[in-house]
Amino acid sequence: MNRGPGVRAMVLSRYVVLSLLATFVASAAQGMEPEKLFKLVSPSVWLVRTFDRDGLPLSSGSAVVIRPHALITNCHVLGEAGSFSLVKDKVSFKGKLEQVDLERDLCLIAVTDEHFKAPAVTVADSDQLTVGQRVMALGNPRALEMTLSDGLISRLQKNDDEQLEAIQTSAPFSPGSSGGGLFDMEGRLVGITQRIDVLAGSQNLNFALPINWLMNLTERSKVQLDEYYRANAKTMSISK
Amino acid sequence: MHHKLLISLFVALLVSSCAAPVQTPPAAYVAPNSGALARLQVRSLKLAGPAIFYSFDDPRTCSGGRIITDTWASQGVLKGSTAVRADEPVTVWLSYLAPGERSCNIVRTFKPHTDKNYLAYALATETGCSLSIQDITDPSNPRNEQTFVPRTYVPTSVAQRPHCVAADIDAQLAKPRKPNLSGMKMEELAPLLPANSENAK
Repeated sequence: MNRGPGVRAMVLSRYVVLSLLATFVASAAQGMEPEKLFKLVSPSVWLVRTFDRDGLPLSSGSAVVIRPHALITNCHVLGEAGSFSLVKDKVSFKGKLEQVDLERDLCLIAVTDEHFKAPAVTVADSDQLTVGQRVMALGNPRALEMTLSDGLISRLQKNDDEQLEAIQTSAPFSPGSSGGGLFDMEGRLVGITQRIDVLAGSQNLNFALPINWLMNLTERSKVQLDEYYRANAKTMSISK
Repeated sequence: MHHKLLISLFVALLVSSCAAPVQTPPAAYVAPNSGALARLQVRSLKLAGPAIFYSFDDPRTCSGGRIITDTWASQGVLKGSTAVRADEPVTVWLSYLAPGERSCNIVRTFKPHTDKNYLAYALATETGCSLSIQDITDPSNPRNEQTFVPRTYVPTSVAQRPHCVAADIDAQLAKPRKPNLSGMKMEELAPLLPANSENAK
């Protein structure tokens, strides 16, 4: 059967539409460009500056806004501090420690100042991560504010019960990155950058905590704080 | 003879700050040969200074130190293998004298299980040392020993041991050890901690 020019044009236009659709789907699967991702998530990643009990600068780290006025960081960022602030673009807010999970090195910070308007990030399901998936780390290594680095999920460290314990990534981070965000290419928070392997000969072995651990932070914090307060009360009554 | 003299010198150096006189060096460890037993192997990389790996007759108070192995026996490395009592606490002590006469002492208690095979591995640098214990019963799947409890080392004279405080070691061994990714104690956050919650009262 011979097709007329009108039919041919229709087939061609269908082909063009399908090609465009395929290109769009492919780019959506790859996620957003790093520039876009940075623009999206950077307002939610803050520098944590800690001060000793005399109010002198002590160290720095990173934190990510997960709810309005609430940020998550690594507890070790706050170690030995007498106070701390959240800093971005030369604006600083006083922070308050609200929840503590030392075993998982996750601490929840509150900023009560009404002027703190930083948006919360979108959180992904870290149990759905796959090795080879592209990710980006954003934090403040060596207090170098808002440093973006990219890499892959190199390995998913699981325990005997197949639960995710750590996300190993080739996205480099350094001291000061602790408490920063590890994002998938949709700009969703998948992990909290926590530690690097610094043993001689190691190369680019970086570890983040699974973001799903946020789900039971409240109850785990309560257990650990109650245990500490109980032990402390006992010590105080013994020493009286 | 030379070996014994070196050990005596090392022990004398370790306790040189103590007033009590140094007596004879500790005796060699005698492996149990009946009852529930486990195996403990001791290894290290080549160490720059002398090291001794002990066990104690009393694992709770750390009295009665016995040498399992030392670096003189095997040219600068710790290398030994012995039976230990299973299902009861075993306390080990790594004592290392780094160059510059900086001593490093680690005392740990763990509870071996019957017929299991454990590896105590000592690592040392110019500034310090570390000790790990792994269950290597399945050598292709070594696991960090979960009952491995750090003890507080109390330097004292050889004659006057103990070298560690008994504290509540049995309770600690019974409690499953939880990983602590922060490497911190709650005290380190004390000025920042939220007010005491209701349950703690």
